[in-house]
Amino acid sequence: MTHNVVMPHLGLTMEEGSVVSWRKRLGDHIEKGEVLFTVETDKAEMEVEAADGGYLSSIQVKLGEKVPVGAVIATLGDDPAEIASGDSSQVIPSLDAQEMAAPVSKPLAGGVSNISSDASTPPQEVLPSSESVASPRARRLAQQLGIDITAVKPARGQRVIEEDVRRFLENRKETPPAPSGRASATRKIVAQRMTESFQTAPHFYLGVEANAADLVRLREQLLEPCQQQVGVRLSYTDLFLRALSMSLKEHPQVNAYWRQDVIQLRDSIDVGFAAQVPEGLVVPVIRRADGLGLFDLARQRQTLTEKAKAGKLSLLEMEGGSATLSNLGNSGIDWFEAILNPPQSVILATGRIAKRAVVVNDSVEVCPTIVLSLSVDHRVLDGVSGADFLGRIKELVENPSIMLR
Amino acid sequence: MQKATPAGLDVKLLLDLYREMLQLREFELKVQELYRKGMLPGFVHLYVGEEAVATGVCSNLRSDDLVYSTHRGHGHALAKGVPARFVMAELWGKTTGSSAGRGGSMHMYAPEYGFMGTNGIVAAGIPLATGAALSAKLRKSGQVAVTFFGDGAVNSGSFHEGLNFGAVWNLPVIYVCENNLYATEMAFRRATKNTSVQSRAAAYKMPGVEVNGSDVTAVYEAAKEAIDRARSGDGPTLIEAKTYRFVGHHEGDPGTGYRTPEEIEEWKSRDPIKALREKLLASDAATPGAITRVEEGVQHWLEDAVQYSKDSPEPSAATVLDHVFCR
Amino acid sequence: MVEGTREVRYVEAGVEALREEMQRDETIVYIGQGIGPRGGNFRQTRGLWQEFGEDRLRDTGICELGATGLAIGAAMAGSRAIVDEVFMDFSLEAMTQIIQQAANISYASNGKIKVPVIIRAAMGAVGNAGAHHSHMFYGWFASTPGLKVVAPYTPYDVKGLLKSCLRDNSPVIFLEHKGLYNLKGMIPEGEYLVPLGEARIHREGKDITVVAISKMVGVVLQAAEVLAKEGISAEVIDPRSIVPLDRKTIADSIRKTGRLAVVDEAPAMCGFAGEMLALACEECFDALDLPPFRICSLPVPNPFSPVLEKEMIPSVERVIEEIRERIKG
Repeated sequence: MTHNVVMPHLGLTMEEGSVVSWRKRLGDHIEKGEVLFTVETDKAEMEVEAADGGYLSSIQVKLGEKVPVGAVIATLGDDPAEIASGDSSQVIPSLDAQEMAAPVSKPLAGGVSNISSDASTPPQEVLPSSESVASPRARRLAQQLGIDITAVKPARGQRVIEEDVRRFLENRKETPPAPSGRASATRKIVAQRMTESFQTAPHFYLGVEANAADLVRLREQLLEPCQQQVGVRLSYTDLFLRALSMSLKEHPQVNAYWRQDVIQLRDSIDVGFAAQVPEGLVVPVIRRADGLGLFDLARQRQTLTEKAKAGKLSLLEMEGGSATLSNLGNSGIDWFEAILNPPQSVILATGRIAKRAVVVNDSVEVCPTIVLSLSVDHRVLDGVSGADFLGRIKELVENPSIMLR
Repeated sequence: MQKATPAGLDVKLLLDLYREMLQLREFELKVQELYRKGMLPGFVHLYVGEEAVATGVCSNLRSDDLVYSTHRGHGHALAKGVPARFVMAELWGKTTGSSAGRGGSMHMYAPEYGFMGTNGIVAAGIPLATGAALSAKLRKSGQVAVTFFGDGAVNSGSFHEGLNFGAVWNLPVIYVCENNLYATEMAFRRATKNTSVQSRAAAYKMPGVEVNGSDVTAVYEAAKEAIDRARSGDGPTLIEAKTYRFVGHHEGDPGTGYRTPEEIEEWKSRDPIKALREKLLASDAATPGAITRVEEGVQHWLEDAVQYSKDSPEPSAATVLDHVFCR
Repeated sequence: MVEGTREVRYVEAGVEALREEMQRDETIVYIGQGIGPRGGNFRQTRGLWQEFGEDRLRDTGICELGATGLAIGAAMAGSRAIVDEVFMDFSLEAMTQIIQQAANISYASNGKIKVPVIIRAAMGAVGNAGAHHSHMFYGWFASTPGLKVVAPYTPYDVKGLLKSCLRDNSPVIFLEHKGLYNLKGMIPEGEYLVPLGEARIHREGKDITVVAISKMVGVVLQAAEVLAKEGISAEVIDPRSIVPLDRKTIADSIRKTGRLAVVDEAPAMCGFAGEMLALACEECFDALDLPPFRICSLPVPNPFSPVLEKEMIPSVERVIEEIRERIKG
């Protein structure tokens, strides 16, 4: 049963509108009444709730694309596996698609040491659980392609066959991965870690909106030199990582873990950045980030991202870390509160840079802004220390030339 | 109905017949001894007492004539000319046996001597020999085929179909029934109303003859006539040789559960070997010395066969898959 | 493989093979009921008696046991013999000679005695002949060591295989199908042989390997046409000889397609179709995308009633449905 999601009629005179952001990704489940997307009309932006429940099975408009009221902009289906290929790339806003981690062949979760990450060993075949059945041919093919067979769903019946594996591979190339109904081994690890983190560390959250006009300008200027000097397309993630590193340097008490009733300071500044892969979360870590210039940081970020894609991150490149950056700006998110990446004490969550109404000198102006959100482990830090830390990041974002020194 | 009459046969031939029968007897008694000692695999059916039939018939055959035998076939093999070494080694399961140890007592083949096999299936040899005779006729080779079978075979479909073919196609085949009165424990008189085997020949319109199977010269004469008839293209003959086995059906059967001691003694008193020995000694044709020499010769012959077989190797396990099909 | 320029019927192809070989080898003798002047119940020896005479084409009464024993005995003694049981069902009268004698002689004589005998018979159901005239137990022969078993489908294969069998020194069970005698096919001019132990791929495909023998090859080919229109590409393999069996061609195909169906007119239990499933599991396990399956006659004696016999024997419709169901779900 497919339900159409249409451009809603939100005002007497509204004739057309555009979707500025989606709250859900393809394959996500949405309840009836849950916010699904944000619409921009000529008058305002409004959040729109889903009229039906289901799995987001297709998105049929580009972000910002004006469509008439009543036009079908998306569909919801009953089957999480039924995702129409094609338009899903539109979920990524035009800002910077590079951040999108491409699929990797191995399940990786930061800090989990029991998964072999030696690049020379072939991907381990994860044997199907008792619920899933795969034909010998399918299993062999999955092993050859480095696909986790338990992530593949059968199109028909209960046996995964060759065709299913091939389709899985095709989909993975075209679309961002949709979480499957059945937990893969990696998913389970992520779930366990996040549960542990959420339940163990007392989280509090700080948020601040920063003016990003200069940031946007600076980045624009630096694109070409960065490309020329290190062969990398400079991203906002790189700038945030720089800001994070610098702030960590200046606030050593943030670079610490809570361990058995003791705050343990770390002696190096290593920043991780969250990368989403089909099997779960990957957090590659850049070592001694404080000693790296912006371009070098960018280059490392790029290299580690590629390694993560290829499933070749070493243990050293995944474990530890002073703090993590999670940037969902490309996913159309304004702001969010991240869960701490244990055993770290802070995690910086950034949303999208978007034009917003700000007050400058008592008048309202339109300005690109960004919401910076910091989750803090209350065992290690209090509100003021957290606020200081975050405040410095805001300062760097608003005055990015400082980051070039 | 015809009865074969003994003719005057020369001394050399008689001595040969004597030697032959003695060989068959001594061989079988040795097999019995070895079998009882547990040295021979499988099971054996001994020819003791029936020697005159195999000897009388086969002494008339060419080496390229074809003999089809039964489960009680060691005597047939030896009489047809298969060397004792190869028969004994075969019973012992050795690679030097005529079937390289693959056949044993009931699947023993020596085609180089015209011996086309003993057989575990009663009456199976009858159609086979008839077919061999057909082949000989078509190829114009002058060969004849002989099939031995017991009273137990004559009520089987194979007997009927085989003889019918032999007669209607006028084939050079001789059907030799060794009527020893019992098929395992089943007395012939209880298995059929018509206990005259040779009389069945009339049903196929072929000659039938009854012969005293305890008299080797009588068998010899009757066989000669039948073989000549076949070889000259005048078709088959059914010979019923009345004989008796002095032992049980197979080693393990005492043979006394279904036969009276009197009957056994009666037949033993007509032992064909003893009879010929006496006949030879009674006429002045053969000296005691000559007979003794024959007897000693048989002992050496037997010892040689036993030693040879004892010393021979068993087949290699690696040969198990060989010869399933013919090249 | 040169297909040919001349159209013949299945039954005629056999006669041609016999004629050519009997001219070539004068030791060949043919025994059976009605195979002389009449030319055989199915016309399977038509014209041969007239050409070769009564010495070499020998009519018999109704005595399969004797006739088969004779053929085997003649083969042992230096002739090359064919015994025609006519209906496979009647070979049952002769089973002791076939299984106990012919199959064993080479092995038990350590290869000293060759047995160049062909036991020829027509198997399978046709014309609602009923339980006594419709048997398909080629599997019994195939599981007896010492016997070769051949079952051709095309006229080309009948001639080529029969000629090869008449040059083979082992006992061969040569099985035609009563329902195929009128099947037409092309054969070449001139001499050709089809070797034993070589399967034929009638139709190439990529989605499923379908193995069938004898009349079922035709059924499968018809089904394959229909399935092709539905997007299921079937590779149809005819083993042609059951013993010796061309396992390699079949296994290679299964590894290519990942699926196996076997269509057999014999009932499933302990049959050739099961042997094919064993081959798939033993030799192609990791290549399998679907459990191998078989479509066989129902395990009943052949009913006389046309409705019931139609139900029993695999039909084109049943083959299409089963394959479609398993692949498409």
